[in-house]
Order: sequence, then structure tokens, then C-alpha cells
Amino acid sequence: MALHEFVPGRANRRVWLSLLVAAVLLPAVVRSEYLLNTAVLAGIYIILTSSLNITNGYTGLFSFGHAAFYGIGAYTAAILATRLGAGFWLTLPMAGLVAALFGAALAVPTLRLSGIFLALVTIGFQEIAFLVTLNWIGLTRGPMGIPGVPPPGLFGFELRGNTGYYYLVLALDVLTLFVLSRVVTSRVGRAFIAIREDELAAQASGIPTFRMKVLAFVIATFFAGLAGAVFAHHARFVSADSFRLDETFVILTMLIVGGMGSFLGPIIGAVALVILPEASRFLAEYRGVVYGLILIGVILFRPEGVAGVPGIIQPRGLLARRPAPPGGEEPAR
Amino acid sequence: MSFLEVRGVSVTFGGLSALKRVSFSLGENEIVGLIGPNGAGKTTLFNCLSGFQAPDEGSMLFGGAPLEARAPYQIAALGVARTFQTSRVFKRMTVLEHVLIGRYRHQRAGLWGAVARPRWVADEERAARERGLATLALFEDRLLPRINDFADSLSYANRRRLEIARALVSEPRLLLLDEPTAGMNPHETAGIVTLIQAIRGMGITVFLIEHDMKVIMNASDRIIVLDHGEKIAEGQPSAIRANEDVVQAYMGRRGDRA
Amino acid sequence: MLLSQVVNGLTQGSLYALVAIGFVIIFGTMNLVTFAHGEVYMIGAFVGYFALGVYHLPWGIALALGMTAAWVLGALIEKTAFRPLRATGHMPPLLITIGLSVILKDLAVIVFGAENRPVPSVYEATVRVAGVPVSVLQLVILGLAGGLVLALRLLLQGTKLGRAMRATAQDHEAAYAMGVNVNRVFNISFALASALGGAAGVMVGIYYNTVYPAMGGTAGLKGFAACIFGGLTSIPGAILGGLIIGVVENLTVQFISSGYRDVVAFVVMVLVLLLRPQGLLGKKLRTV
Repeated sequence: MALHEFVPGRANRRVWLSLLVAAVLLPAVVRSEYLLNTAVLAGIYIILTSSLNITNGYTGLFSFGHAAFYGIGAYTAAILATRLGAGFWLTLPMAGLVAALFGAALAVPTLRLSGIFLALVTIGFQEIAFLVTLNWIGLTRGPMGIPGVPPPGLFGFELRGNTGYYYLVLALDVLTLFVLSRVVTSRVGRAFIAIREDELAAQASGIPTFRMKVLAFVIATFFAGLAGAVFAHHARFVSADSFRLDETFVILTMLIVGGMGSFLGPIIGAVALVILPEASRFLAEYRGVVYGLILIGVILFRPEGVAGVPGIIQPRGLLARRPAPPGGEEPAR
Repeated sequence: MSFLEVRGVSVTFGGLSALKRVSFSLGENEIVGLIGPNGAGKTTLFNCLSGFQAPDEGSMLFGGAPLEARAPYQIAALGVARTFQTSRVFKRMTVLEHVLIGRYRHQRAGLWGAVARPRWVADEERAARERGLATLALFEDRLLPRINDFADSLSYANRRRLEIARALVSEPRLLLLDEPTAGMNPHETAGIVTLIQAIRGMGITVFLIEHDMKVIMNASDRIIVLDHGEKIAEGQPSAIRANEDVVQAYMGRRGDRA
Repeated sequence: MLLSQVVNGLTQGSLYALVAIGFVIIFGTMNLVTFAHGEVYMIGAFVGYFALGVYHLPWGIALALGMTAAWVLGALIEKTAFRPLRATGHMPPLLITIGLSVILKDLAVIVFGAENRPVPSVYEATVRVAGVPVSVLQLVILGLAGGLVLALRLLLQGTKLGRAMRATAQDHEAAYAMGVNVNRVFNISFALASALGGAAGVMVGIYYNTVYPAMGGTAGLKGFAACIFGGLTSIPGAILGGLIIGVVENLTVQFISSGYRDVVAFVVMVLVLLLRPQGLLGKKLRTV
């Protein structure tokens, strides 16, 4: 079975269960706090890349604003936690919901655009969100950011130390990947892929393509918001600077390197690109250059990445605005 | 109430008339051919019927329900299915996924159903799969052995068949086929003719654009002829064959070349 | 007071316009979008800074050096990133420019450090034009930007190369059939666009007395917003877009708050995309 065809299910139980067991046992083997912290970061990025994959990989939408929703989730969690004393188990779903609400609000007017126009409008939204966050001092404390976000608590125990965070992130990853695997193997997931492949034929087959594109967007932004909440409680400090176009490019690079349109692709990309800079200090200092070179290398030599569906990046028309009616002959003069 | 009633449909593209007050009706359970020289407006007519092109004037009633101002997916929900002149398969979906997607309008599972997978969703998927395989069986052994292959790995003829299968599996009442035999050899073409007749046998009306005259004459119960956007003839194949206007249209009228 | 803000806006706007024209040239000729344009602008700015601030060369030389550096970088990018992938569509080159922009910015931080470098002042005098106080520097910038646009127009309308560029922009296959060396035209177009961006970078450095590695990001996006406003394929539109964004930005700073200055360009971009994606003056876009 090709890597890009793997989706967890009853049939391949043994494979993904063993992976899960290995992941659960990891902290017993890896004792370093630093490495566990890296694993937590990888876990957060797995959620981010997998959710971006829903819009950009499965549905073929060029969303370039993912970091904004990550940030909206993080800020929602931080504000609720520091202003209202809300616990993690409330801030987490709220972060997802608020991010999804913004996602829907953005999607409805903009998803009739496609290609580069959609990309640009999502970039525009992202920058506007950044600037509003920076300036709305009353809500977000502006450039000072929001410090002092408390760690998650469970039955009165506060989570401290990276082992606790690791298991929390692992649980969230399992939840996210479970939900997403079910989505992509369902009628909804098939509709997403059909829209990516040929929106006109999808419409002719009875798929309400606009509605489905909005749904894809809402799903993706919901999970980005969840990741934001995890980030907020883990880093204990949120600032608007972490959620700009640069960050979207990081997530996008991970997704492309791992492979778009498949289940494993985003996971591989997130893990590989989080771990890589930790492998040597040189790589850590030159992280940007390394990411850029890897992205360029992948596009030039293997655009489907490690485990992506081949052909997604190539033949799409970036500038197709709205699918033209199926070409008939030119009207006769 | 007529099955399909088209009255006075016109479409203009920036000054050029693609369709001029075209009127006709289709009945249940018949195969109607649509012919005409290049540029006559045949695919434009299909685009109007399937919701991809809004007519500038005129009406189209399908079982009494108006087709104008409806989105393509709504028209598909009414039971109109189509294939495209340039084969539009989902390149990176498998043959099986094509027929599953064809069952879209017969299924109900949304986001909640996808994630929670209650019993009715599993039943719905199983039913769709059965239906899909049954439809693929109509194509003998051409598609069934390849149900897990991506559509872009299929031969050209198989891709065209797959498109028809995807349209068929949705149980349409009206099937619009746009040049289904284009690029096929005589043997494959004959197979399509047989298939079209079998489709009529299922109680589906087939509206068929074709350039291959043999196919049209053999398969059609009736033929409608368009030229320069106007309907210039309608009738039995034998009558159309003998019709002077039709012959002229294909030969090209003298003084037509600008 | 209002008028002097307008002058500020026009000055800044003319520099946005230069960046925007670069996008128009690249998109118009090659039908491609580059995310690395901002970084080319930044590199030009740094070269200008070194020439002017470190080696104390006259600002004119600094400008020429900055433009040359940008030209060379642009030519290199086109040859290595765009040419091998042009046939594959629009996404791969776009993604490559994303990679390049990340690399260039990171390299700049590593080599130059992330902090602001001070650029010495060039002209400090102010004059009154029609009763409005205008700095000599502003006049110079406006004159320079205008001069570059004029030179560009002369190139496009009056030279063989310009005709080749216009023909390629209309239909590169037909141009090829007529004997135009399309590869060379693409390369020169990209380099030219980059040089304009480099000029803008040098002038921005002089105007604000500072250069820093992150300066390319926002400038590039604002230039793109101006280009979208004008319609992606229209040079006059891009100029208009740049000037309008510049003026509205300054009025926003004056009447609303300085923190929201940058928001103007993005709001303009989003509004144009939602309400009139072909921009003000753009022609119907070539769909793929």
C-alpha cells in the first residue's frame, strides 16, 4: 500500500495501535525534558498541519491564513483563562469554537474566490487580524501580549513538567486524528476530494460545492483553534507576533514536505520539521534557511512530499477565478 | 405534465447568439439525439439544462419544476445527470469512489454522521457500495476489476465509461450524454450504443449529443437538429436523414464564409 | 497640515507604487506571482545602506548599486526558480518563492543581525511648495519615482526590447513564434521588476533612515495590495493603488491612530478582492 493511501481503520488496527503504544511509552524511554518539550511542539504542529490539510490538501483550497486561526484560538484561551479564570477544559473547546466562527465568517464571503485570489484574501485577513490584535489593547494587551496563562488542571492537579503536557498533547492528537480520519473516509471527505479534482463535475454529481468548501474551512479552523489553546497553556504567554504569515509558511512547509492530501503526510511533515532543527545547533540557528531549502528541494524534485498524493501541486490553475461553464464549441458566427 | 419542456431558450455571449429561442420537449423513456454542426449550441443547451449556464430568456420545466436559476447540484437532485464533452473524471479518486460519489444525492451523512458513524451511516455506505458495484457491472469486466485504481490510470475509453457510470449510479430520470463515443473505436462505440439502449430500458430518458451519425441514427428514437443556435428540424431518424435543411447545415450554406 | 500629510502619503505611496509595478511586470509578462519580491527590495535596501552609510558613497551611487544588486538577484531567481518550473503551472513557482523569501530573510538576520541599521540623512532642507512644507528629500523621491516610471514607459513603448516585452505579455507563444527570445524577455522582465523594487528599498531606507531584515515582508504585501487594486496587469493602476494606499495610510495615522497604519493596505486588498477582483483598471484576467 502506498504511503499516501494509509488511513487508520479497523483493517490496519495493528499498525496504528503499535504506533500509539510506542507514543505512549515514549516518555519512559526519553527522559530529557528538552526532548519531551520538542515532542509537545511536534504534537501541536501535527494538529496544525493535519487541519490545514483538510482545506489545502483534500479540498484544494489555497488557504494561506491558518496561523491567524491558531492565534485566535490561543488568544481566546489566554483571555478566558486570565480574565475569567476559566480552566483548560473550557478554554480548549471555546478556542476551537471561536476560531471556527471566525473561519465561517471569513469563508462565506471569500470562498467564491479561488486560486491566488483566495490565497491573497486569506493573507489579507491574517495581517488584519494581527494588526487588530496588536492594537486592541483593551482586549489583548497589544504588543505586551498576555502572560500568566495557567497550566491545565485535572481534578485539582496542575499539569507541570513536560511529561504531563506530552500526554495531554498526545490525547488531543489522537482525538484530532480520529475525527479527521473519519471525515476523510466519509461521504463528506469524498465530496472534498471531488471538489479538489474537478469542481464542475462535483457540482454535476449533486455536491453543493460552496457549502462543502465552507465546511472544510470550518473544520480546519476549529482544529487550528484547539492547537492555539494548547499552545497558550503550554507556553504560558501569547503574543500576536507568533501568528503571522511567517508561521503560516512554517505550517504550509511542513504540510508540503510531509505531503498534501493524505493522512500520514501532515504527521510526517510536522514531526520531521520540528525534530530536524533540534538535531544540531547549526540547524537550529539556520532554521529559516533550512526550511526554505527543504521546501524548494521538495518542490523541485518531489512535489508530493514524503507521503502526499502525487499531482496535487502541479496542474492546478492558480489563477482560475471561477470555473467557467464546461466548454462548448464557440458559437458559430 | 410533460417530462421535459423547453420553451424559447436563448443564450447570448457578448453579442453572439449561442441559442436562439430553442423549444422542444422530451418524453419519458426515450432516446433523443441532438445533432448539428460545430458551434450549433448543443453543449450550451446541455449547460442550460444542467445549470451551468443561465439562459437569457425562456423556460425549462422538468416534471413541472423550473430548471432556470437553479444551481447544478440542485438540478442533479431533481434527477438530471450529465457527462461532459471533455471527459471530467476525478483523476485521483478510485473507480469505486466515483460511483460512491455518484450516490451523493441518495445519502444523508454529514459531518456528524461522518464522525459518529451510527448504524444508519454504515448501512447507507453499504447500500451505496452495492449500488455502485451493480452499476459498474453494466460495463462487464472493464471497470469492475479496477475499482481500486485511480481514474487517471484508466484508458481513455474506460474513463468515458466511468463518467457514464458515475452519472448512471445516481438513478437519474434524465441523462444528458455529451459525445460519449468521442475518440472511441467502432467496437467500443457499438458497446456504448448497446449501453444507451439498456439505459432506456431502465426507464431513463437519454438526451444524446453525438457527431457519429451511425450512433445517432441507430440509437435515437427521435432527433433534434440545431444550427447556429436555432432548432432547424426535429423528427424520426429517417426523416432527418432526408431533410434538406439538415444536409445544408452540415455542408455549409454558400456565402456563409465571411 | 492635512496637505502635508497628503504629501507624505504621496511620497510613501510612490515607493509602494514602484514595488507594485514590479509585481505587474512579472505577472503581466509571465503570469506568475512571486512572494520573494519583498526580500529583493530588502536586499536592495541593505546594499544601498552599505554604500551610503558604511562606505559613504553619494546616494546616487548607492541607489545605482542597490538597483544593480536587485537586478542581479532577480535574474538569478528567475533563472533558477522560475524557468525550470514554468511549465508546471503556477503553484510550484509560487511555493519556491515562498522558500526563497524565507531563506533570504533568515540569511539577512544571520548576516546583518535583526536590528535596525541607521541610514544617514541625505537632504535635510525643507521648502514651501504652494504654501505646503515639503522636504527636499520628498521632492527627490517623487521626482525619482516619476523618472523611473517615465523611463519604464519609454522602454516599453519606444524600444525593441519593450515591444518584445509587451508582445510576450500579450501572448508568449505568439511572440515566440514571431522570433522573440521569450526566455530572455522573461529574465529581463523579472530582473527589471526586481530593480524597481530595489530602488524602492534604497529610497525607503533613506527616507526613514533605517533598514532591517524584516522590512521586506510588509512592503511586499503592500505592493501586492496596490497591484491588486490596480488590476494585476495595469501599471497605471498599480501607481494609482500605491499612491492611494500611501495617502490613506497617512491620513489614518493622522486621524485614527498610528497603530492601524498598516491595516489600510490589507483592508484595501480584501475589499478589492471581494468586490471587484479584477481591480480598478485591470482587463479580464486570463483564466487557466
